[in-house]
Amino acid sequence: MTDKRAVDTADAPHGMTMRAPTLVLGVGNILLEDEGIGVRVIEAMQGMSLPEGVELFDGATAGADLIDVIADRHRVIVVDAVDADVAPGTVLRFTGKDFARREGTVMSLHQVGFIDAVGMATHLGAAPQEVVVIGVKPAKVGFGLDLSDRIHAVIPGVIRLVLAELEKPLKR
Amino acid sequence: MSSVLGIAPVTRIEGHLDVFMTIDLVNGVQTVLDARTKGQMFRGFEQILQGHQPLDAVHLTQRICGVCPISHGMASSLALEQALGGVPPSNGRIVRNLILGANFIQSHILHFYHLAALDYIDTTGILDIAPWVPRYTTPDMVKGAAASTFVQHYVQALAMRRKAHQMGAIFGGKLPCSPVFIPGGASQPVTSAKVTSFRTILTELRSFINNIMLPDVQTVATLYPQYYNIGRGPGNLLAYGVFDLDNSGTNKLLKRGRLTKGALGVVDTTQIKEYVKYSWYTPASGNLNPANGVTQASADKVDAYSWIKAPRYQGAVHEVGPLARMWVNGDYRKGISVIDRLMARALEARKVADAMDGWLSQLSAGGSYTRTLVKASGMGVGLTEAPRGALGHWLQISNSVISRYQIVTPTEWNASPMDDNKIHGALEQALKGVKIADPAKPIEALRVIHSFDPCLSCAVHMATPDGDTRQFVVTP
Repeated sequence: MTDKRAVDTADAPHGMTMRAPTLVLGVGNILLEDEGIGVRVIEAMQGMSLPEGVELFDGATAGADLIDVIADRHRVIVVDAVDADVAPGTVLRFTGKDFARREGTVMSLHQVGFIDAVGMATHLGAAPQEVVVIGVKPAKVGFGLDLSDRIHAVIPGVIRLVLAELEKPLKR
Repeated sequence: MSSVLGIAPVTRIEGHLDVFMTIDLVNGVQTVLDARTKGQMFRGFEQILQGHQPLDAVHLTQRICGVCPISHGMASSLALEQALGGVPPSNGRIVRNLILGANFIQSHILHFYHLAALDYIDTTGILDIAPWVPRYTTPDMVKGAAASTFVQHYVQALAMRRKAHQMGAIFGGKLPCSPVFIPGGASQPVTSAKVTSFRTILTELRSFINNIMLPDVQTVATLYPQYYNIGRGPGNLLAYGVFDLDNSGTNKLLKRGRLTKGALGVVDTTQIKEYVKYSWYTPASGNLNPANGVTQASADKVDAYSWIKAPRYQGAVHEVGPLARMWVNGDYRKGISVIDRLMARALEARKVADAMDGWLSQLSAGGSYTRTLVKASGMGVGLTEAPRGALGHWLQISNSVISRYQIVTPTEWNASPMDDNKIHGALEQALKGVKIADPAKPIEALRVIHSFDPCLSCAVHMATPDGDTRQFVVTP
């Protein structure tokens, strides 16, 4: 049986880096309760049977560091907490072009996170062709390692959405 | 009449920092009379660690921040080793040094090209993507062909950062938040293929640092010589030292030490105290050594203006960072200023990268870890350096779990508020006296702030869709 997920690039000769074309990227801070939902979904998906060419990645709170992780992928599916005018526990799906434009209000590299990593990857000619975000509106964001019950309960639904994305053929 | 000038938030730094300056005309020039740095995030991560298994500290503290998780992994591993009595084998020590070294290189490249250089180069029309806008553009900035060259290097630097990240992941397993740090070494065995891959990328990075980055930093130094005399700060420097060269940690590539009132001295951590008179913490949280540290928030406290505590060494304000390290080590002692900070950082990148090549040759194929067992009780201090300065973790284990954990970050030293004696923090002091040509564009202050490479640990970062968010709802 072949390894369907992460290809260990460490032992590959330099310049021959093998990348799974599809990346499922969970981002967020697990020390801040529901803010960590993206990472918690990745944890829950570890060990699941996934289609060929899919890599799961826990991106934690990285911003610019994610350039390398997302570069040269066909498709990136991001799972993250989202700030939206909806009830806690609501799950949203949007694509790269739907991101809020933040000109004039950028606070820091961190906050910017992976959205600007996509922008920077574009400068390098290595941006993913497709970016889909599965977002969850948090219920509680305080100091703590556990998700609130309400957000914990949406994990199976989020995973189903991610799996549905993975069933779609890659755009060429 | 004086006025208050705020840069809130300061952009192109890591985290959220507001700076408020009182400015007034002095000899006909607007001059900063007083500055206050305001850390906007409550650092309460320490409480989360209480009651956890001691080994969890390595992984939980790396989650504090997406910028220097490796330094937290190193500090917590060292604190645990002191508490538990573990000593890593040579492979473990070197593997950890190599991962941290990769992080230093990427951070120093990021700082110069992507955070600091835009204070000197007008790239309007060339680079207009977030997070590199908004920014100030002023008449004294480099334009034209010289600016175009910088922009080429800026884009090249993005690619170099990517390579440094790849390089760190060869031994780190995964970045950010490397799983391989562990008291007793690193859970990553060494193979000759990994060494070869690492060296290939390192060679490319060394070439970039030597042939592109150092000349570019020198160019800024040549074009802005007045900044050798701006932003001095307290003049005291502190380094915990980093990159152990032997398994006992006695010899380091960058030594531990300090410069206090012009004299070099040793570092004794019992001489460190954190003050909170002007920080939003209860009085019981103040005037304590981190080994006995307490972190209790008091958000309504009168006179307080920051979430950052004010750490002091023997009561004196000390600056930390690459300049402090290079000064203490005897590698750079030209001066203390904006340009000196930029120069020391670039020279340190070269020194670390050169040393890493030698470390690769010292690795041998095989394991990197000495088994280290958890004890029911113990205390440990882990002192290391993040790219932006001295980082310390103070750990206490009772009944086999963590009973106390205190973290003192580099930016607490650099961007602290006043202490109980009303002595301003290092960055606040560095801003005092800075002349501002145009109060609407206080670029002179920003150059001082950015030279410290402040980082206020990560809090929340959430994605926000554009427009009416309800159109994106999937469930319910």
